[in-house]
Amino acid sequence: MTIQYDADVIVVGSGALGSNAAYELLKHGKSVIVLESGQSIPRWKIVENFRSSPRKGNHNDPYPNQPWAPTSFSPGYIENTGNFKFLPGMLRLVGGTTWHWAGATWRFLPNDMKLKTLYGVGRDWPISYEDLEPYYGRAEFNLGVAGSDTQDQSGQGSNHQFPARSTPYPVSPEAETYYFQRLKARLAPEGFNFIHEPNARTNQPWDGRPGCSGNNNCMPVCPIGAMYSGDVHARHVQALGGKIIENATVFKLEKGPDGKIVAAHYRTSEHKDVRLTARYFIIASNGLETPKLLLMSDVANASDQVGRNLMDHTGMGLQFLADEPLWPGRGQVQQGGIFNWRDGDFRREHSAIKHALTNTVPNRAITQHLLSQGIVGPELDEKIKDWAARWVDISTVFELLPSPSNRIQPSTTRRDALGIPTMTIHYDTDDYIEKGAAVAKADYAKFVAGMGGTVINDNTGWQNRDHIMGTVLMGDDAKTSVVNGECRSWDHSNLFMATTGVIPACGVVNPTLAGVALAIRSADIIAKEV
Amino acid sequence: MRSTQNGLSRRQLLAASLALPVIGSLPGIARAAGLLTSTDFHQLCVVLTGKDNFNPEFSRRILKAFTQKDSNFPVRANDLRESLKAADLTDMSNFASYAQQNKDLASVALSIISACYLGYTGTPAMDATPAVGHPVDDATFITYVGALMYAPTKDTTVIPSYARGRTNYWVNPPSAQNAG
Repeated sequence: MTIQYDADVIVVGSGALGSNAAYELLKHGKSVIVLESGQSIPRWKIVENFRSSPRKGNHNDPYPNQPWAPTSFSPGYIENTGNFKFLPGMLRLVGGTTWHWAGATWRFLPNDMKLKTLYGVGRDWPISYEDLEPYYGRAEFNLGVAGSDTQDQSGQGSNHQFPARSTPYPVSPEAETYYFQRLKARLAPEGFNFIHEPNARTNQPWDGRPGCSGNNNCMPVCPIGAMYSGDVHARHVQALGGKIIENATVFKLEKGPDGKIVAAHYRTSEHKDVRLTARYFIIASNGLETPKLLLMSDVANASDQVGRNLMDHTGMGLQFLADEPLWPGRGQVQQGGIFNWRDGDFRREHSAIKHALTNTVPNRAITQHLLSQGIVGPELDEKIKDWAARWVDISTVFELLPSPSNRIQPSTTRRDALGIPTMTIHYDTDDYIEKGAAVAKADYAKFVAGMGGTVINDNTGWQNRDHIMGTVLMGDDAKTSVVNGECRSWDHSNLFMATTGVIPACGVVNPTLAGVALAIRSADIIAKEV
Repeated sequence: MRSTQNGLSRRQLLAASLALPVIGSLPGIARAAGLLTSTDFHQLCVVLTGKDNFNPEFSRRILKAFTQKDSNFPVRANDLRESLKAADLTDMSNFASYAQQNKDLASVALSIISACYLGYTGTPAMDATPAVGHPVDDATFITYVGALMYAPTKDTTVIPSYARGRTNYWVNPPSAQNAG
């Protein structure tokens, strides 16, 4: 008897990774159902929510936070037990959390993927840069990435393109902001290597998106959709006949007698439970919800590594006033940074480091600071004008090493409105990034001195960076990893993970592009088998 | 005498305060009877910001937000208003010396100035968002584009989410020809 399935492939999660995987499968002619716990909401409503919110710096605030689809900022949703409050801004809506990123779309370096082999710390990826390179190119095309075809993105100062590419960037880089130009002009002679950030804010029409016009609001929402977000491919999925079911929270993956996954069970916002079957399943529910679902379902965890090895690019920051007007806030919210510590033998001893130049309109931060000093009246206006021209904001990230004790687990005591467990996270910072922080602070002093600066804040403490990795990490050994180099569960041959949670060595670059590339690669593999 | 004083009713106290306008905070109690109008409060906002053209609607929103949080706020605002008058403080350049001598009322002044400049009252939660049955902070929206903090840079940067320039305008510093 022929078995009937609801779809060839069920994708859990409609974010950038899930939607790109679904899109590629549909192009291969497969039937796809995407299950999304949140809702679809038009961009203009999010923009209006933002403009009328008192929480402008809270990136989750303009987005839906429904009882059946709570965001990470919903009170009590994430319970922390470690020395650091791990609280990334994760969304629940069609299109996912790339609604509020800044579109940074770096490639990992070949050496990032051989961290253990080269430097004796952390883990290696089970695949090489060369394995992933063609898929990086496809991901960049889907996202309309603007980047430089001439720079050494490793930050080591060579005069040739690195890492190697088989295809040029689909969009040429946008013009350098005056702010970036001036910082580079004065700090590069001190030995700091400034690199343009490849980004998914197209600066020319691309795939229905307009070119960036410098609204300076990539986070929490690009008002014109120049910046890529997962809703683009969610729409493409629907245009190709894929089905996206909203308000559908998957709470269980059902195992069959042959070790394969046979069904996904979801609960609607009205508390109705539905069972859907498919030949293959892709879990694309981000780096926290994916391991939570696996653990709740008791699947894919023969290695006991599901939910463990949680990594972020835990970071810190520097704000200072330069001695000349730099005019930050004109253009996009970030454009690149300083990458001297991206790679090198020092990684044996301390974390890699990225210093990104933040380019947000600084008026709120400045005004809050001045008011806290009791400055009012004409002096307040004068200082806002002066400081806003000279404000420099550096956002630094560090490469964390995977630690089994840094983990996400379903809560044993708390449940959401659907009766589904919330989550508990244990996250400790380690000596590897503490040593990196000392190096970064030495850089901070040089930045300030080089710009004739006055420090506003050079001791922010550790900060979230929302780059979730490691929780379903890939490896070449079923005993020590959750998925193989295809992102396929070692335990269930028809179960794949499309999440940055598969990344086992996190470097210092934003992981979304790698996640999309891996998701496209997994889709190609599945398409051959279905 | 002592027992009589202890027996004063609130009404009697209020009547006494009207007769003794210079004693401590008693004048404020009189104003609590509704004598601080929204026009008074707007004039206070104008004095505190030095902006004659400050939008009266924003003043109304600020008064409402603070009063909802603290029903005694109109009293304190009126005390501030009268105190500024008494100090003849019309130029906020001189606020620092006033604040030295009137620390309590200076904090009221700063909270109002903060609302006018930042466009909200209260302290917004940065890593929590309201959920059903879960308020997360005391923040109230007043205005976005009307927030005074944006006025000093209106010729150099956009108010985020709005745009005035075209792609790549940012390659140049601002100038009269390039006010994007």
